[in-house]
Amino acid sequence: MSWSRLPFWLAIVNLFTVFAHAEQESPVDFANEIQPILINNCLFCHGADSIHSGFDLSTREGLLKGGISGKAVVPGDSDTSYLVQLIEHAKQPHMPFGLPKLSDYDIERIRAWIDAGAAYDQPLIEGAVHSDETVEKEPLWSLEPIRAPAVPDIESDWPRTPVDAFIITKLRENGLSPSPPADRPTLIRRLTFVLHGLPPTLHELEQFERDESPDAYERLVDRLLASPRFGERWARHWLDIAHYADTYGYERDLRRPHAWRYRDYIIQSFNEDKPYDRFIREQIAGDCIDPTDPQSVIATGFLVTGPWDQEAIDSSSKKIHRKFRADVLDDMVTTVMTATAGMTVNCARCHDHKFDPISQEEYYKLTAVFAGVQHGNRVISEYDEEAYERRVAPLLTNIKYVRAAIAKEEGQPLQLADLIGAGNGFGSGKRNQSIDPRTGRLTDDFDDELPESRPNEYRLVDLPYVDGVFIPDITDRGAPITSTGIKQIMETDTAGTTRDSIRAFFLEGFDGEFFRAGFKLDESFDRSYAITMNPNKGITFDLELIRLLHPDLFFTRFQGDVAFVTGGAIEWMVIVDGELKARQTIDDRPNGVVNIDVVLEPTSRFLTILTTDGGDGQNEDRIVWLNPVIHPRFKHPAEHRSQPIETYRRMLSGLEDRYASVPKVEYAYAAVPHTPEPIFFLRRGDTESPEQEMSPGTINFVKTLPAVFGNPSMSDCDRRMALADWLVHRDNPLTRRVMVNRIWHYVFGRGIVDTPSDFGRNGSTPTHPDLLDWLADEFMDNGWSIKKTIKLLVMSRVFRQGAAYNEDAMAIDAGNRLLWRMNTRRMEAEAIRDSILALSGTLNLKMGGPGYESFEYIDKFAPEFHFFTQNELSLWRRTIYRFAPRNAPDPFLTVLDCPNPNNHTPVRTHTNTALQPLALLNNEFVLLQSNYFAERLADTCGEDPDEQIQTAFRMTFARNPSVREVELARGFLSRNGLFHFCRMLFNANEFVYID
Amino acid sequence: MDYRYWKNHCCPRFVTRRDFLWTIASGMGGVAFSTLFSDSRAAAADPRRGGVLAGLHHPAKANRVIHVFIAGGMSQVDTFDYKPELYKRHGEPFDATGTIELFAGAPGNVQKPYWDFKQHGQCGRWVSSLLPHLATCVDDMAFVYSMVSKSAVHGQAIFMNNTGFTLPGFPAMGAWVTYGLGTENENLPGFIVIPDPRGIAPGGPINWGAGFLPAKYQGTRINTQAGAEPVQDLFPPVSMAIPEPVESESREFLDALNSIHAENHPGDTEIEARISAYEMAARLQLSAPEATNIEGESESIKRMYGLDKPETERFGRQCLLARRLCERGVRFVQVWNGADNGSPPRINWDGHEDLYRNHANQAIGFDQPAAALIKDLKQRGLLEDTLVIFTTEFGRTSSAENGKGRDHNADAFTCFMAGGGVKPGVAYGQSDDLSFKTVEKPTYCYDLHATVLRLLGIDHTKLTFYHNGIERRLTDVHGHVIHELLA
Repeated sequence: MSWSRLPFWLAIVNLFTVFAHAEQESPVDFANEIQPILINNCLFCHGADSIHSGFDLSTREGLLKGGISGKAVVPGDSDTSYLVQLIEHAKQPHMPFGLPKLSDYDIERIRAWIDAGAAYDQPLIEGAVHSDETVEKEPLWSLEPIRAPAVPDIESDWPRTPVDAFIITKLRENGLSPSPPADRPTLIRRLTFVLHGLPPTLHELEQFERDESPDAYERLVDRLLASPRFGERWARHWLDIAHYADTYGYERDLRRPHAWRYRDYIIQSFNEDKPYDRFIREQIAGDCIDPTDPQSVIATGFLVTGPWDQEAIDSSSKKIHRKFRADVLDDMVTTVMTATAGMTVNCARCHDHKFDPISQEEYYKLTAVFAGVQHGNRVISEYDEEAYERRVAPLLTNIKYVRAAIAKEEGQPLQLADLIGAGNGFGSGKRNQSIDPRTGRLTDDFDDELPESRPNEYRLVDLPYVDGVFIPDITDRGAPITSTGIKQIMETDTAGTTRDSIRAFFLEGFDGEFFRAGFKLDESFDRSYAITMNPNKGITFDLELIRLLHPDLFFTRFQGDVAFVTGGAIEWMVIVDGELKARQTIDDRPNGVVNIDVVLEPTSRFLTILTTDGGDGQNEDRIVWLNPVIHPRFKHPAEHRSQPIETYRRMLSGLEDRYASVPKVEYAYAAVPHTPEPIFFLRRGDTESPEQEMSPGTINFVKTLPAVFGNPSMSDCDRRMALADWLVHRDNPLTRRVMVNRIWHYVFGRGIVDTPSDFGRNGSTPTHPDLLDWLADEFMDNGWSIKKTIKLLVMSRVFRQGAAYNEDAMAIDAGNRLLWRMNTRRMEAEAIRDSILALSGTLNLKMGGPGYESFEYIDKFAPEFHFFTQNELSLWRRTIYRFAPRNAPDPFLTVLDCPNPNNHTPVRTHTNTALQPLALLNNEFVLLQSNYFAERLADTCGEDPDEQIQTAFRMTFARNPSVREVELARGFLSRNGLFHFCRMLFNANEFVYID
Repeated sequence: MDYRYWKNHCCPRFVTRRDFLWTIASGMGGVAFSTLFSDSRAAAADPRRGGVLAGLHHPAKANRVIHVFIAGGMSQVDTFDYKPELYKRHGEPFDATGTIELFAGAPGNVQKPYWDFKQHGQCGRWVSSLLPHLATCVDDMAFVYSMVSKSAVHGQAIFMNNTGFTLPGFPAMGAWVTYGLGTENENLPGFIVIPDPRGIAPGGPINWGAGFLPAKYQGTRINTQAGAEPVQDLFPPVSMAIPEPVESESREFLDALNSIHAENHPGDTEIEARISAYEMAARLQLSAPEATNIEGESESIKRMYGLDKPETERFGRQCLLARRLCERGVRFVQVWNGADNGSPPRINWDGHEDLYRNHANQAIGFDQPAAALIKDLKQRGLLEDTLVIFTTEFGRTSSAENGKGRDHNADAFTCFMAGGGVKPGVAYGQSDDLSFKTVEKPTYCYDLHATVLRLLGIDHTKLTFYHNGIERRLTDVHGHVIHELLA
């Protein structure tokens, strides 16, 4: 029954039922009262996505039919309606399942509605149809075993390779024939683009044009496949599928500083032509296969390329943690299964897959495969942190002493911030170390919230030169401010609570800039020491102990600046041995800097500095002590010249060199293994509705292989290795089909299946199923070699056809699905940028290592990335080496259709917007590169405009200009010069399209 | 830097396209536009250019949308969701059972609103004294008091509100709308974003990204920093300015090259499309300075939006800009109020530490411009077919956090809207007595999105895009048009 036929008879039924009960009941408005209740509470399990217990209430027919427990509703009689008993919690299972009970009002409306006949104005889901039987579906082609089809035997001398035979057979069947071959310039430009993502150089072009030998093309193919540029081009494809990025994403888009090693691993794997089965096994379980091989460990970066919500992790809510963990596991399952098997298993997270034979249970079995995998940095160097620390500890101690000696000789002041950092006052301490003002304990955890602050209690600090800390509040009895019991009358009525710890800071780099920007400090404060003390904190230093450290010094004064940002008032004080030396309340301006200078007596013992909220109770204002120092002087200057300062300096430089030469610990962002956590079947995908525990396993369609890998006690490695083995097993038809299709897609611009990550029923079917299977078979016979497969394709006559238009062929196959010509392709954002650099001669071919960063990184709670123009060699690397932030996509590349790395991107899309021409016409990068291109042309061609035009055309389009073009260009060039000429070449259609 | 090849042909004082068009935009130039773009087509009259929908599923009540996103989580209990019970129970422990888990910990005591509520307008809507200007607009507005979100974490909840998913990387509502409907004015992007000049809210620019939709549907960000070009790369940077005659001749040269290329590629529509993109770019250069130049607005309008006061100037500019863009037929304009999270004092509505202080600071900048936007659209007759919606990622708890703050509340919050076929004066849904959980008509952003699409004439189940195995929708598998909100 189709819905289109329903309304008429339903309307009659409705009329009848409504009429019959009209006198007894108050009218019920289905659309406004009932429909929202049913949709929000029932439909999820009973109609929309899945139908539990056979009960589907998306249509009235389904509602009346009921489910496996029998009739749910008796129209006109709510009392005997099973549904009412369930929602009133009179019977089990209480409905709505897993949700709060409906309000009495809602239940009353449902009852009234049932009593009035339970009429529907419309189905709950627009267009829903009730069907009694599930249609028996055709078997899914992609899950069928790979046949080994014979290469078509065809009477034609056109085919040069088996690929050609398959293609021409299909062309002929459809009354089509292949196009004439492309000329050599077109061919080399096409091939270099496909294999390298770059234009051919003048030299390469010339060489190929001149090479008359019959294997000229094959040698070109071999040379391009052997070049490291190949790996850089093809790794980009895999990184699209793996949704690789260099930051976390979500609210706190923090850096993943070691993620790039995975990117390099992919480039290297393509360049080495790593067999694809091994490539997959390493990425899923490399650390299990060989934990001692750094490359194997790095490979598992594949599992953790997805986004990471640090803010969810930092929340105190366990529910939020559970939900986010489920998202993380979902990302791993999705990444692995779409990339390798082209199966959209993530569709089965909340219900059975609607189109493909993937059950919700199988989804959770796959989830269980990754239950032991966490995100994190793994040590890949010989030394771990502990070993490194052991090696450098003695060096650091010596450096500390020598630095202190130099500082003393130079009369440098002692930095109090450095003392908080457990140093000796001369910069030897640990930056960012902090003291919890509630407990006096040292902490690395800078928490904004400090619950349970107790004011006016003095806490000792376990640092050599810090006496203690406290949280000041009003008291006329005096608050203890030293360990010896000195008290201070506090007149300011503070919040009595505080935020954040007392931190020792050093302002440099981005951190420093950010810090300075926050406090509106000028550049003179760069490389300053700082103690951050948001309101309501006090700290006391023990000058006597500091003098013990430096017995040859005495102290003369305490100096520094206080900087603040406030929405109300703040206050600061300096107290020496209980005597108030300086104090200020500021409530007349939102920010500023105040200088402090307090004289110290040679016998002073305790120096206390404190901040308050100035009585406005706002502890969220910010206060920082900048360069708080005590000035020392030698007690007996002459005696301390035993060692000339130059000797100290030499010692220091030697020590620092040795320190720098100790090999650093190296990390990779990769899978960090744990004991697998239990994985439960989640009803509707809801982490708060766990059901039975799941064993690791996979989709059950390879008849010869078990779909359950083990029981819940299986180890992490065994789980992942089992999945990897299952994926690359010769009986699994998907993995090979998916990969050869991807290769076809990247070579020809469109896959045999044009949904390369979806081999399910929602995806496309293959245009050439036999060819796909033949390639899949060949792939395994070739030892899973990607390069051999690519060579197979690019050596074909199909690939070497021209791209010319043919009206007759267009009439039959306008979309060129049968490949009667070669597709014209648009360069991707990366290829455009790389080609511009290559033409200008500025391309920096440095391979590997941390990505280039053409942005200013503001390191804050939610980091910011401010992009700037790339105009130096270190930024002119190939685009695959860019540091890719997740939330802040590169604006230039994004306009040129570069996809967002949050998505798995099997196919690049191309659009035409007004912003793209603007980017290529006006972006400073393109203009500067136009200038370099102009310089290069002038350098290589001299003053002759014809020579310039000829060379520019050959470089940009890999062909000679026509007479008409030379004339046009000559006129333009003479009036406007090379810069403008080059700028327009970068904008030309022919530049971004490859024939 | 050696710019010699650029400098060669640049005289010391010349007129650039930028100078020229900004002069025109300021109303001081007397040159007819047509002389500059003699060959470019006139602005299209076709109201649905570039969208995928062949026809609308319903008659459209709204032709364009202004979406004001209030970042950080505006407190519903201190603004619109009036709960007398909170005064009675003020100071009592909120959670006697000790089982409630909020984002930042366990709830504190019940905290009454920090501002007094009064009824306003003909409809008698309760609004607190925090928002005196918006309170004067209530008869034009509709409220949903029963908003719920799937996440109480900013990043996820902001993604959800903007894209329908808590995960990053899905297309924004504005991208879906322009994907479906295209643009009314071919000379301007169909989806324009006006970020808060103080910074970008959690999740960043992908909140207005195209996700897996083609990139042309992504939001185009208007630069709100003073002195900046309104649109990225609209003109060459000043340091590399190009004289207008050279620019014109360059484009002619490019056209000639492209024509030869096109002759060799007959029947290739993509190549033709790229040629027309260059024409579109030229038109955008013409229209963007004019559309974004608010200097020509009257003094009374500027005062209305609060441009005369430092506290309202920033958001006032954003709102006035939004109105100008809508006036010129931009399909979807998104205005952001509130920036990222970081150390206090915060620059968004995330009042964890001190709700009173935080919201007072935010509201003073927000209230008057927001109200001015509604009133100004109304007085120009634009409100009739322009839908203005105000949303926030979640609300706040009616329990105190650490004494003076309020925590995140994803289970009950308020959003409001006006114009574009919305029935004025409607109050939809209800939260419980403490505004802690929604008790009547729980409304996810799916329902809101479905309703927005419906007002634009689109059936939300029929605007789809295939991606990795799924016919994706803005509303995922959810969404229910809120008929009560439709006029």
